[in-house]
Amino acid sequence: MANRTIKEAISVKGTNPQYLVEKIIRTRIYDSKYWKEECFALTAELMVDKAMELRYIGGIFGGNVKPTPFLSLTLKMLQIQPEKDIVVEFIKNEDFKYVRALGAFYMRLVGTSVEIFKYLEPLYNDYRKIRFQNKEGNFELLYMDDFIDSLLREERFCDVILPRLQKRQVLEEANEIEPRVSALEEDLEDEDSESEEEEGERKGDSLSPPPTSSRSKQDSERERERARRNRDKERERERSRDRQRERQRDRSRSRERNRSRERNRSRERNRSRDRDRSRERDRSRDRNRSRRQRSRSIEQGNRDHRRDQDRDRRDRKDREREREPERERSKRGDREKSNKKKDSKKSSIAEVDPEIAEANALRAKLGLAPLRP
Amino acid sequence: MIEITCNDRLGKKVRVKCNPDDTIGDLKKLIAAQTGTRWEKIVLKKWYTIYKDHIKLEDYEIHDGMNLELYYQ
Repeated sequence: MANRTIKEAISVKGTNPQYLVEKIIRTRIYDSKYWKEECFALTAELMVDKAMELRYIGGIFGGNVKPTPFLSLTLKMLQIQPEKDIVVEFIKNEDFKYVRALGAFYMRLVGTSVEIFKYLEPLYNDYRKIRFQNKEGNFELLYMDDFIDSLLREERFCDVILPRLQKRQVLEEANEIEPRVSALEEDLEDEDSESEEEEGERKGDSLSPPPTSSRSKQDSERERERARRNRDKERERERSRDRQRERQRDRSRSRERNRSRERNRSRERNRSRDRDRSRERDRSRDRNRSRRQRSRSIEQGNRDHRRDQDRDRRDRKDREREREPERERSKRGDREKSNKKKDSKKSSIAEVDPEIAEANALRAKLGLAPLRP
Repeated sequence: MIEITCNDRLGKKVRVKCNPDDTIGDLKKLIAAQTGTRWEKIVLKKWYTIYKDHIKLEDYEIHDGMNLELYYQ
């Protein structure tokens, strides 16, 4: 198997080093022409020649995911695992910037945090331009220090997930690395000494009235705090008012609906206990309303007669209710109340579909315009 | 607003609401938000045509209720 990792390879991050490149991209690389033609039977020495021929860096590109030679060579390095000296030589060489980039990328993948900081940070002083092929296959201009910075900071680069890096600060506290000295430090020091002198002069002037200034600062802070609290309170009040209004609206609507149900129930007394069916009936009645309106004129005579009957029934019903024990009635009242609650919820759904509201919230987060109806 | 179904036939099937003038890239971001995969890793296909990120749905004539194939890269 040509794509197998060499036997004596040390496992990196607890697995086969080749697994640092994701499966899908890895198989894409194995399938690519560059891998088959150029990377076959490469050794660490031959690798140097190939690395010198590199013209750009990049991950995968194009619609039908093609890997760049840079990525293929990185995978090859993971496969044959060249010695550390060779990688360090890659990074230290001055003449070939893409060799250096390849070495740095490989070091970032397999090195320990200390090694990575030790070998990559000096490259911050390399300002050479490099070509970078983006996802669409177009070229972008990048600088070496830019590249190194994204290696040290980002979680994925060139479509490879970069392993976790320990925080620099933690390593410094454990005395494993020295604090970083930037190349800009010298310039800054010069400027600092100048500005310090100036500041000293200024400080001498402003030293006389410190207590008043501090007090005024405190005061202003308190003032701001108070203002903020007030604003919050006001907003809260407004919100609660809104809520109240909504509730009222709901209540009135549900009362209406209730009345209609009452009428419905009285029309067919036998089924009135079966709440679900009655509600269903309610809905179907809505649906049929238009048809019914048409046929109303025909039924008119019939209806009048029925209404009389209805009234009779209602009276009887009321009487029954009075006779009913108090407990029963209260129970029914509870049930009615819960029904009312359900109704109110339904009406709010009708106002704004929560699915659409959710989708819009998501779109807002992604920076897209809201959905149009 | 239109609703599009994306299926990877490996157990992920998502319905996404979007506008016809969204780009494929926007659609990918919406799918990514629902499935939890990175949007850069999503490939949308219909048969052998791969949809490109910068083109609008209406230009690809993607209509309401259409099915797209969801692949990964």
